[in-house]
Amino acid sequence: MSLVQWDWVARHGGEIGAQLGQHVLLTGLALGFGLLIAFPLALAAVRWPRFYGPSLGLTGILFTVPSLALFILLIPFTGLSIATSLIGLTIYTLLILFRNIVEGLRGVPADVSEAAKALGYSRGRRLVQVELPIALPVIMAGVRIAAVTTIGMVTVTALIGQGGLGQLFITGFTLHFTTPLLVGFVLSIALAVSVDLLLAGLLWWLTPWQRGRAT
Amino acid sequence: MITFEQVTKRYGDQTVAVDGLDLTIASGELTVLVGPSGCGKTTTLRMINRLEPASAGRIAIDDRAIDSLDAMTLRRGIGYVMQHSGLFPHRSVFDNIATVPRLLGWKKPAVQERVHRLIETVGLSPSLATRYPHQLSGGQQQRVGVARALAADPPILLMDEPFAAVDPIVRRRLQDELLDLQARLQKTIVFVTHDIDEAIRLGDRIAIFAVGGRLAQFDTPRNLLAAPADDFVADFLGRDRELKRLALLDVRQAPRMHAPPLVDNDRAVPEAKESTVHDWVVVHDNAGRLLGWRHRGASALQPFTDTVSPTTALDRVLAAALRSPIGVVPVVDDDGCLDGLIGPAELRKALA
Ligand SMILES: Nc1ncnc2c1ncn2[C@@H]1O[C@H](COP(=O)(O)OP(=O)(O)O)[C@@H](O)[C@H]1O
Ligand SMILES: [Mg+2]
Repeated sequence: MSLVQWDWVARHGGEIGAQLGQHVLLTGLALGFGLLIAFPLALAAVRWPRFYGPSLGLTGILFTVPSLALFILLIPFTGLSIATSLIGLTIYTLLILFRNIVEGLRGVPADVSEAAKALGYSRGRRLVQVELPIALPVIMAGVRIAAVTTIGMVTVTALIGQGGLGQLFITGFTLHFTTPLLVGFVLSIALAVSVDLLLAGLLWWLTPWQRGRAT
Repeated sequence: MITFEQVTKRYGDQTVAVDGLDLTIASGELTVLVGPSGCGKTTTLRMINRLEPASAGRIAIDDRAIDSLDAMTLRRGIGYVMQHSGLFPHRSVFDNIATVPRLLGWKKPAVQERVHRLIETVGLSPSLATRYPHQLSGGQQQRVGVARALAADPPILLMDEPFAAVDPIVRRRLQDELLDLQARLQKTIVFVTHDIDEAIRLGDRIAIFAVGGRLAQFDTPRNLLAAPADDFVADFLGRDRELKRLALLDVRQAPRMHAPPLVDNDRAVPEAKESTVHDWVVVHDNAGRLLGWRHRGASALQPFTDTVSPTTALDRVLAAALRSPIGVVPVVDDDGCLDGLIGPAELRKALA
């Protein structure tokens, strides 16, 4: 018996594709919500440094809760729904995103912000046109870590009935059948690697001033 | 014209950075704020474009209180250059310089034309326009900083130790270029430095600050050097302040040696008629052109290694006099004619 039964893969191609699609969707949504929440928090933390320590502590504690435990804790409130997995996943992205956005913005040289102010930028424009672009490499580093982490974590959400490639693992275990296991394994790694490369490429494209510069 | 009336700035309850400042900065002049570190120069500068609010007193530009203007409008009309250029690292030289025109909503062609003109004005090569700040030398970065500050042609330019971080040779060149620029543009420039020599070189007027944010004296460099108001100012100007005064004067402002021993080479003069005060004579031809000098009674003519012109600064004259074997230097005008001799005694009179 060969390790991979290709006819099984061929027969279940549609299903595997859908699971991959859901995996991508869950990851994307979790990252999107994560950014949406982390962003204002990070801005507040930069503006009021006293707020930074406690926020970092709280998101840090959330991060240490084992993922399965977190999902189980959420079930009484949200059931075995996509909301449960999304809430869980989003919480995990928060720490990384929050910390990196704050560090990115803090890394903007003081004299650069000062110059922007002196030249007559409003606070909002300064943030969008000067501070965020300069912070982008650090923020993007956070997004990449969060994306790869989330792709791994989505696998776990299959246990609460929310698909993704994790379904393949469940199928494989219940049927004592290696093919779905291997397919799920390879696909999730391939997904993580390609998303990571894609984000790296996006950063390269967005930051022409960094090219050819030793970092 | 920028006026400070009884302006005080406190940080918290403790630090008084600027203390009851009264100061009028004339339009079209380069005014230098100088003083030891921590005496409130930067704070004074930053109050002008409201990067720091004053704690008390009134600041006005052309008699309009700066508080009556919107802060962003005010700042877009005032150029600002700082020590580490503060250039935007994510923008090309072109885009850095284009910052304020774009904030003001200029049309694309106007921005383009302006930026290219400024790149030339500050002495940068046009090929640098597409570079990023980290690809420039320190001196080039400061030039871009100046160009960016001048971009929307603001009447006022604030400069906070703009040349402090570049090496002395580049600094000197940037100073010269700034003086050139100012001669052409006639901006109202407020320039902060802790370097008294830089202040004297650049300033039409110099405000000397003492620690505690007190204005110790405000005058032209010449007047400051000639009559320091107190010991602090005298000390700050340095023990060599007579040399600095000499540097600000030139040969036209010095007397010539009284009754110099001059000899017309074309007319024989009996040795007995030669001066007995000096053991040398300076020799010229009958058209008044300098030929050299010789010992009294001797015939071997020696050339001068140094001569000075009417526009030579007096510190150079002093150096030349000290080098001269006869202790004085001949002044030679543009036509090559001898215009008297100058030595240390004449320089003293020039300072008197
Ligand atoms: N943002 C600030 N907060 C508290 N103290 C400050 C601040 N900026 C300057 N100071 C203090 O005010 C005084 C004057 O500072 P500054 O204007 O920077 O002096 P200078 O530019 O002449 O070196 C110093 O004692 C300095 O420590
Ligand atoms: Mg300063």
